Amino acid sequence: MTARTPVARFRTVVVDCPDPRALARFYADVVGGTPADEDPEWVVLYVPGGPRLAFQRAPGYSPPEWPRADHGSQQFHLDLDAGSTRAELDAAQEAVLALGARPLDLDDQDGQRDFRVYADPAGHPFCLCRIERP
Amino acid sequence: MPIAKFGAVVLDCPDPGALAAFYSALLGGTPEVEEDWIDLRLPDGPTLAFQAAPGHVPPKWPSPDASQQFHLDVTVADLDTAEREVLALGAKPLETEDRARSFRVYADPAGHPFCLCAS
Repeated sequence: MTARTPVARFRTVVVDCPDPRALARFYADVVGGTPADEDPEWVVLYVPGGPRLAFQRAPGYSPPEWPRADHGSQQFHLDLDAGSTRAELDAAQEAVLALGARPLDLDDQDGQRDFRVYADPAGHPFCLCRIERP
Repeated sequence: MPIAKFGAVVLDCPDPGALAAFYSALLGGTPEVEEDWIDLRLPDGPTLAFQAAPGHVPPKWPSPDASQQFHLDVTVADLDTAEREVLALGAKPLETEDRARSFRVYADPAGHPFCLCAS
């Protein structure tokens, strides 16, 4: 790939949802940061060590139906690093479920698979991943 | 104490190589291929990842029931210049008529909406 000047700089990952404040609160509890919620239609969350997330109200919002690639596709999802051990993954799972996440696919395949899939309170799939540290 | 650290933003698409090449040209970085999955570590942002989704149907924007679900906002110095460049890379205009507004909406080559925002 030839080095060329990029067209743009990354700014924000914007998440559609019915209740921006509630979903921003959920992600703040999961990945940190403090929601800037002066505008109830567009709530920004600066993730420590991560990107700027924004939660945008989408009237009539329908959540994705995972796993589907056709109508009802997740389109995007967020991968989150829950630590390097099974115990850390278990602890993170307990915490996200307590915050209102729903399990979608928790099958570790006898330790072969290093992630589990959940839905956030608005229904967007996200993964908790076990990341091996060198 | 947060529960997890941010890892990546993952985009479903029919052709990860093609979409990673688009976002690499848009935002920089070098795609790293791993089977059906491509990582693109942005020089100025998070890791974007591209995942093959067989039978992928793009969102219909704006439509809450074929929802975009997520989109990316990216910042440019000049909207007109950046627009020419993204259209040449295969983006399609979705809402660009208002030339005075500080952002314009396009679809990437897999059909995901994204915004060019004036810095």
